[in-house]
Amino acid sequence: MNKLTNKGQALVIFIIFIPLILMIGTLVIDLGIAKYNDYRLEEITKDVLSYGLKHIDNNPYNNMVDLLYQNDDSIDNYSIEVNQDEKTIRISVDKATKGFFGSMVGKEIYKEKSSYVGYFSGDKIVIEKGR
Amino acid sequence: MRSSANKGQALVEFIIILPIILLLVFSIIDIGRVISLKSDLESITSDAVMLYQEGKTPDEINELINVDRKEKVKITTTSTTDYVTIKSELSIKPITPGLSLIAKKVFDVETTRVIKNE
Repeated sequence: MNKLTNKGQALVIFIIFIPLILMIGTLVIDLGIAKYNDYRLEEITKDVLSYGLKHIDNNPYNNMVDLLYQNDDSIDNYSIEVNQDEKTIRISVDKATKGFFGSMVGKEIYKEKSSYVGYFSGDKIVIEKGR
Repeated sequence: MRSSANKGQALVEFIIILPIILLLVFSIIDIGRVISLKSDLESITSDAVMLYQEGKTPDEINELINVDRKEKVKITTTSTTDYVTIKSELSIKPITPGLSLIAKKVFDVETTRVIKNE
């Protein structure tokens, strides 16, 4: 009797495990996409900051906000502090995305944040990671 | 004592499972390649933006960006009154058989950056 029940056992167990393997694969891909979104947000923030510093004498706040949303219209929060006396700009941008697992639970589970501070060192623009 | 009917059973089961495992693994690798390429294109687009702001034409930007590149990235610029959109595009071939039929658009990778038109 035992001989009959053991036939194809490994195959059945594998088929039971396929959804788990797929979920792990999807999680890996989701994390990869979240990491990419994080990197993209950082690049956009640096570009906007660079623009702001080049036009710091012309009160660039509104243009910087425009540029931010032109590049990514799903940004949740931003904070831009332009100091024309000290010629420095602080910018901080937040974004939350759902990904595949977030879509399943209906929540934005991946939070991306990017903060930079820019200033002049002589004639050169310096952009550093903000605190 | 194993009967002759059970000999090679594990091998048969493995051969049945093998294509499914290979499909899964190659699909994950392909999607990983797309994400990695998108990150590379972000970096290339940043360089293209810098070159554009220095006054280079789209043809010059394409030439400079694609120096020493086996797979040529296509860089296009579109201008409106207020903004310029710089787009980098590259297509890759998936290694998973049949995946390009299901998800063709995924393998035409592009990134865009918008800057002020000055």
